Amino acid sequence: MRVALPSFTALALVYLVLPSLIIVPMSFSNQLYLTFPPPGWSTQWYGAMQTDLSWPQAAANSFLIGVPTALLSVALGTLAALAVVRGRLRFAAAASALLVAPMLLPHVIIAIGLYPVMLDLGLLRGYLGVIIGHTVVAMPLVFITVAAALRTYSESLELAAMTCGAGPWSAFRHITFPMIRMGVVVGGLLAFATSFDELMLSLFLTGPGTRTLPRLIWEQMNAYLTPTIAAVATLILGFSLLLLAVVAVLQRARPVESQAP
Amino acid sequence: MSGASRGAHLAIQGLYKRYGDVQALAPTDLDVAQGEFFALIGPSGSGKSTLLGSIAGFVPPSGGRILVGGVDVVSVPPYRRNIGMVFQNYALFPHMVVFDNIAFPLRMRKVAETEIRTRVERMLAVVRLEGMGARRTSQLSGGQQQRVALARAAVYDPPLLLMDEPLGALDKNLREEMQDEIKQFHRQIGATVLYVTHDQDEAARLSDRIAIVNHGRIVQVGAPRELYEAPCNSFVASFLGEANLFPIQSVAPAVDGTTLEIGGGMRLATTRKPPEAATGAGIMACVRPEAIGLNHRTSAAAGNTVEGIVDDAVYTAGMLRYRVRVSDSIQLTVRQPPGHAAHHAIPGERVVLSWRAEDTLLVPRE
Amino acid sequence: MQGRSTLTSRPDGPTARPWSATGFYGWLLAVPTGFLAVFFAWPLLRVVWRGFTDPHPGLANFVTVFGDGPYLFVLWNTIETAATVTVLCLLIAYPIAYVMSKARGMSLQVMAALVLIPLWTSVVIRSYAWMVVFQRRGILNDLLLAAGIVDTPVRFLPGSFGVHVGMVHIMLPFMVLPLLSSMRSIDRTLLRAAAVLGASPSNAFLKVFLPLSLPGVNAGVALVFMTSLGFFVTPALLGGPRHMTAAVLIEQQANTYLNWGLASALATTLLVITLAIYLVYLRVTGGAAEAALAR
Repeated sequence: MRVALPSFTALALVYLVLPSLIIVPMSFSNQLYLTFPPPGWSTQWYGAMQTDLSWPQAAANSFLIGVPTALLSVALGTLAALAVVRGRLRFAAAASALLVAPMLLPHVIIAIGLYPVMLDLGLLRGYLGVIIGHTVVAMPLVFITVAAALRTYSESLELAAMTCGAGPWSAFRHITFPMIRMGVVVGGLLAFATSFDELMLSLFLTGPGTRTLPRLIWEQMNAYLTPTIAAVATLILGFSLLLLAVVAVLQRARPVESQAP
Repeated sequence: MSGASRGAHLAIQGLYKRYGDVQALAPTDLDVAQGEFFALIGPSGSGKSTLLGSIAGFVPPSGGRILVGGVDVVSVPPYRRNIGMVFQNYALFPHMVVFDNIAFPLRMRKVAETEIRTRVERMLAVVRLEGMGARRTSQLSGGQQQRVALARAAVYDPPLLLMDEPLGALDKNLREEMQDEIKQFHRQIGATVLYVTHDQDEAARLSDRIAIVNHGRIVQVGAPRELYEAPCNSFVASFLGEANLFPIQSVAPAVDGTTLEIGGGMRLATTRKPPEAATGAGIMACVRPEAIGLNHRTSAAAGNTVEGIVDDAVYTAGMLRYRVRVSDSIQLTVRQPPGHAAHHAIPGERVVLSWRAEDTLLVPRE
Repeated sequence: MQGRSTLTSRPDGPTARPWSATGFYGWLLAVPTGFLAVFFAWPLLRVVWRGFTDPHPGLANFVTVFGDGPYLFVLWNTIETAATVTVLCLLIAYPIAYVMSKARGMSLQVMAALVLIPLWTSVVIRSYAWMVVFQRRGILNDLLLAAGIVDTPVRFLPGSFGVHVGMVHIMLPFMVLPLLSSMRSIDRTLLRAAAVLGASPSNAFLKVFLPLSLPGVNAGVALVFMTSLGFFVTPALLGGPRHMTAAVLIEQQANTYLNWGLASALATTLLVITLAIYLVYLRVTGGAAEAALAR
């Protein structure tokens, strides 16, 4: 037992991490076919990625959609968290269940439902349509992280601010926001990451001009498996790990939040 | 920082609060005089926090009026009530230093920065934290955090100051030290103080008057001594200090008062008049442990004398506390300062307990 | 509010309406819930409506779904796959979470990072990586050939093996995290108490630790099963037509065959199943859904 358990855990953790890392050496292969380990090294696929203009365009689209999605999700998710955690509302549990649901239900159902709605609104294949669609599934993450941040400190801080003469907006600006800032930033990054990786809604809601990276990878993958995809995947992987590192540092560098009770 | 007349008169009129079918606070009336130090005490869940929350503005009452200085504040949001409040866990803003914490209410009131400086410095002096303005609140001890909370609640001279168990988080020694400081603080700022606690000693030590709250209603209001010596019912008698309480089986008139039958063949004499036509069912006899003398043999002068055997004797904080068994079903608590005690008894010893007839109180059973 | 002033026993006029923050917070909540009503609830209702009306009003689409065709098989395959993935995840995640719950300092940091990294890595890219591993001339076949276990490359793709491996890989962190949070909340002195009272280590685990970790098991199982039901990328890439799941089928019916009525009927069926499990999840976690998901 003493040896078996840790070794099993180690194996399972290797299983969790290794596959994502396999694509890194593949992207530097000098072969057209994906062989591992590559017989020789080259950076030709990174070059190919730049010459085919659809890749830079898809990357730009992913940011043009991801950043507004994150901002919109932060605004809506923070409002929701404030109301559910601080509002003493009778229907808070029901509201929470609704706010989390889009993240948990199959995205394909939301996608085929949003398609005709966006068509009616004239937002299909435009940026705004995808941004709204992505916000539906990304907002729950902001809601969850900000609500958790709000639960780390007592409501009495805001009540104290109010007795001191701070109205709702002042209390939020001077007390609540500084206390939940980290949760808001982390929630925003999670929302961005969700949008950046989202495929299903993008398949239904984007057009040729607004095609995102996951959608382009998807289309290319269904056509042929070339190391160009590995090169793109490696870049995305590096970017995701960078985001994760930022979040880890932010969460480590928590300010004074742990006040003496 | 002088003038005891700056406090506001607080009047609660018919204030009540329901949560669905649950009555958290029964219709309540209360008057607190200008500059008075008034304590609300009661067990947890008794409604005292609901009352305080309504006055502060966090708990919307279901009905009734709250008059601060003659103005009904029920419809006024908490940030415009101009009431000071000290919270149970201080609720200091952890992302601000001491100075900014105390300056916060003044900044919210758009006071000029130069005046803020003067007033905060003056307040820091009042709570004896001179030179600590730049400290982080997390660097302060519990007592110091408490003083910052006091300073922040009083820096804008609110006429009414609410304190919600402000010493609850401190250990016993520090708590007693802070009680003296709060008393001192109250004298200096002169505001009316409404103080919530569940510690009866603390309430008695600090307050001009006390209201005892139980089951969502105020049971009795009075000066500490009044409440102790003339409790209005058995709950007050047992909540405030210790009490030997006996159910009464029958009541019979005697030459100079009344004789009470309390079961087990025991009779108690009292000079107190039972309510008209009382059979004893709704009232109890109450004898304070300090009123009882403990002797080796009978002393003639006392109106009540019973024999018993000492079950145990404990010495705590300058008091000898005995449990004396007088019958199979009746045990009495006796407390005596050891220096004055006529006799030091040991467990197993046979003793005689005696007290004056006027020390047998009669209280309605709660 | 009117009429209550009679209780004040003072004839000073009616009680003023008390100030309350509840209305303010209600308005705050109205913004995000309004957004979800328009762009989440309304689209779902349209899906259900379309299932019953497109191309003709009636139950025709549902008759097709539940009829003799391949659709019922796909639905069943979806549930079976989700169940298998959930069980595998639980079996693998429980030991991981157990080791992590006992770990401190550096080793805990490393393990937490290893669990979180996949969570932040693109699902599309991870499925792509599995394709590289499982293809005919892929890493796994190279290893098997080199080890002499097989003579000719094994055909892993498309097939259920790849789907299961890929899905378990993606869902594993979602099982580890709720398990870990419930295990960390177990008071370790209880295990010591059990030992003092004479329980062997295995008995202490079975009688004390395991029952106390059940809330995490329930939450993790519901979460993983629910999410697995809607999986698209992994089965689409690794499963092929022989291992189709509901999400793949729905996308195909809508996007490729433009058969929106049938797609909507399938989606409605999937929605009902998922919502039922969501309600179970809300029950087992209790309280606010967002607090349960905050690990």
